[in-house]
Amino acid sequence: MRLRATAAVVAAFCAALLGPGPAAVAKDAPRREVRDLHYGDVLFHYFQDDYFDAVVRLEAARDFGRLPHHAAEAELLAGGMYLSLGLHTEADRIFNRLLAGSVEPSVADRAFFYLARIGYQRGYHDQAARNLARIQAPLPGELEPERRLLESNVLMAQGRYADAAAALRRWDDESPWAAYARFNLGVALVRSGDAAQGRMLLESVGSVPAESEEQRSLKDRANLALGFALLQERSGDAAAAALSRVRVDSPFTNRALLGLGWAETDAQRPDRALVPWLALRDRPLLDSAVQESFLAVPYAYARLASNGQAAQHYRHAVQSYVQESRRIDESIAAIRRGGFLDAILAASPRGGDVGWFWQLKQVPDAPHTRYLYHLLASHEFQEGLKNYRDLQIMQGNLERRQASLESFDDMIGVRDRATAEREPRKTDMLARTDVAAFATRQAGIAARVAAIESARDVAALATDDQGRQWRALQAIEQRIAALAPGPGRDALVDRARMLRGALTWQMDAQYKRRLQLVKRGLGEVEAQLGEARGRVGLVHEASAQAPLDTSGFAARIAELRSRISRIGPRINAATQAQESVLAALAVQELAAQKKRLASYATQAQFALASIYDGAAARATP
Amino acid sequence: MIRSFVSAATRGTGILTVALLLSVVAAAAPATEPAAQFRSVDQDVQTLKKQLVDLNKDLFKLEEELLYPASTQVAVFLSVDVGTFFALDSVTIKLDDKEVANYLYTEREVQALHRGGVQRLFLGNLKAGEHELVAFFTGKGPHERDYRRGTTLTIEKAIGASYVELKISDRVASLQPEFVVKVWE
Amino acid sequence: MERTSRRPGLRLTKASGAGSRTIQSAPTRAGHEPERTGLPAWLHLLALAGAVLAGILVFPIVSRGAPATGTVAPDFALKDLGGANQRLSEFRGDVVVLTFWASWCGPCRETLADLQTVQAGEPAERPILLSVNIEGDPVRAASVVRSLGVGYDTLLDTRQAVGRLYDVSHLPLTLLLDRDGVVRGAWSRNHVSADELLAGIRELQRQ
Repeated sequence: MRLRATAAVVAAFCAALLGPGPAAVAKDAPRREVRDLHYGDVLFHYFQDDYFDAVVRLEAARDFGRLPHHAAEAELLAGGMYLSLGLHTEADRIFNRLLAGSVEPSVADRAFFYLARIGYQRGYHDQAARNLARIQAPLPGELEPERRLLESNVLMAQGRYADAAAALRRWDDESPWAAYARFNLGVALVRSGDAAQGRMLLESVGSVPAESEEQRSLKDRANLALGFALLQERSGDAAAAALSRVRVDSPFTNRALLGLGWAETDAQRPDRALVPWLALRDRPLLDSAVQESFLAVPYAYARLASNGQAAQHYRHAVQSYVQESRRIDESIAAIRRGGFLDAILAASPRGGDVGWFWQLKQVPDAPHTRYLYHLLASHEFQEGLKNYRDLQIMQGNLERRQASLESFDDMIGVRDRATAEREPRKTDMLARTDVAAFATRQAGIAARVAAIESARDVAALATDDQGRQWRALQAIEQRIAALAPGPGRDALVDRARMLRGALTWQMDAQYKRRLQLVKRGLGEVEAQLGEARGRVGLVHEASAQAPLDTSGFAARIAELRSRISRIGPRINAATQAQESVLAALAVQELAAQKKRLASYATQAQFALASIYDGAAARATP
Repeated sequence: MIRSFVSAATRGTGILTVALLLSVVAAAAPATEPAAQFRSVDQDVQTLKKQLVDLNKDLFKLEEELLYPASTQVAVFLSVDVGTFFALDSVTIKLDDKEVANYLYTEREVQALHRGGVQRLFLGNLKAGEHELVAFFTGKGPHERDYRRGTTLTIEKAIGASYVELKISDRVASLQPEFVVKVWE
Repeated sequence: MERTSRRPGLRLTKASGAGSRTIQSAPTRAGHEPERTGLPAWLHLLALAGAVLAGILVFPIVSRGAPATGTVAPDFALKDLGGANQRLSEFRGDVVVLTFWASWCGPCRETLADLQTVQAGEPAERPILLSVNIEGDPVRAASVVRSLGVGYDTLLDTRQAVGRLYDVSHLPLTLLLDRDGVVRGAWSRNHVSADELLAGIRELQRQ
């Protein structure tokens, strides 16, 4: 009972650790074989921690039937990703469904593990134990030590400490997971009565050299728990030794200092107790250990028979408690005004994905958040905060989806209009363009030109004027021929001949060039004709192909639109509900703190009164 | 509790218990009363999230079917399978002499590829018939050595989606990264 | 004389020859007249120039303007001055300030300098700052960056692809993006002060 504090924090921490944590499938696992391209696409996003994107692609690929070779694997991956996104219920359903079919052992093992994890988090310990028991082989990568930790936690939750200890002994490595397991067991054993065993385990965790911040933090916890366990046994010196190992600037320092003072007091050294207690006294009064030091310090003075000092400190304590109580009132008022969670989120460096890994790194010292460090660190609060943040992200996603839906609608509208416009134009154009007739004409001309060329009919290529002249000349020649022979006629014949010669010479000279032009022109027309034929062909082909079923799309869009409109308000409602639940928790916590401060204040006043009484008693003869 | 503290002021016993009890109260777990409320909100949030995933999935499908119908769809995928370290920098794709994709790879993306991810680099439409695909990649191998390699592929597009996988692999003879092309389906 | 009709691609009318009987005198200026390369009218159908069919209608191409406030900033990847590729969407989760500049643009330099003030602020509060240089000259960009003591990343838009994507028609252009990549503030043509930016950044970091 005494260790409930530390145990509660520890349990919370461990639950958070095991909680919907990182990656379903071990990321250290060797490179996988991808036999469906679209499965590879899912993995590409999964490996970049874009779980939401990955799961959307996975579901779509499954619907499209694009994952024939990775059915079970994809199912497992989906389950893991849903877990990472905080959808335990869905993950649970998926894993169970997976196991209902026939799957290969490695897939089944992992499914059992995740089910066990979910079960443990929800408090279904027996079920968790059963699922764990069905795992046949060691899990890949980081999952194996996680499994062992889960196993040990489940056993402890079931009260089977001896079994947990035995399992731990079989676990023979120095991984951080093992350290957590030993710590959990140590705390549980002390709690349940086997203090000696428990202390031994805590001692082992508390003395291992720590490298990472996480390990150092665990070490502090272990030493703190050990110290208080030893205090329980009245082993002041041993307790002091353990508590001294706690770092001077960790979240556990304050309690360690408090405990150190008690250890010294217990060893009948109240003067030495003052050292840590006075140090504690100067720290912010937000911390309950500091609050208690305000009583502990005068207590030590009283033990040292410095009643004057003691009284002074008690008076100061009362004042401080009252002042602090007023600040708590302010905090409660601020929380009730709203915007509580937004203020907390303001301190968070990363907004994050709809994800579960985002943790609160720093708690700002604002009216909303002071006194709430422990609450904010609690698993329940963290989950709620994540939900709140996720809801905000979901709202953004919904708005963007709505916008893209509108653009699809526009797209379809444009296509419909285009088709509608195009139809009559197309028909009209096809009607106007009689390609066949054109082709016939072209053929006719080509034939004529061929004839001209073979006969070298220069006259045929003459200009209009030349043509006229030629014909006129021919007419004249005829008339001349009809004249009576004689010099008059001869002169005319000569003249005509000269004209003919000149004209012929002209036409002849230009014939070659003109023929070239004509033939080139014909070639161009041929090409254009070919092109025209091609285009008409295309238009026919396009019409022949089944037109885009825009009506089908329109219906789908309408359906999606209505879904969006239904989800939106529910997100808002859930956001508000989440905030009020967490605000209520916070207010409750603050009220409890106020109550404690009040009780401290009362005790200080009684102690003060008792000092005065004592002094008065001594004063009266 | 109060009495024991008071008496402790003069007797100095029992305060230990008190102090520890007090320190325990500080971090007591919150009451269970709002727990039911909390669980119901949590359930709601989970349901909404699932609905949002489904919505996004349906939109994803709709977009693809609308813009890249199966009859004309062509998709080009990129994968990497190298034994020694290779930092892919960029990939360019040209279809029928027109550039359709030019992608720069960040470290995060390169890691994802090395672990077996396959990127859908390009999605488009092609009419039935012959088309030419030209692809080249640039990157850095070990010792800062620059690589630039290309490949050309003739696609015979029939009615139906075509998938082309461009795999950057060094497992072929030269032990240097090259394109290995595979047409699926 | 009847003129031939020249309506493209349609009915052909042959020039009719009959008509005038006047004899046109043979050209006496044969050497001087430019050679008539004209052709008989009936061959002018050859002048029909590819206007036979109109061609298939295409969809109207929607042109992107600069991203509007409230829309998601278009994703892109560019190489930075250090040679690494950076992708905008990888910064989701942080508040991002994106500014477009060129070395010849004076107000751009002011913006870059002001952003450096933001950069030099407290690490816990620092947003992601990205500058995009839209000239094709990495050397010049690097020297400007050096001279201003810029500590945040500068991306090189050598193909001006991103400039086009964002429709950067006036410099400088500075955009403020929230944690989801949505544009929440845009300043075009003028440089934006560090204070104004910081106010916007703090607001967005609260979310």
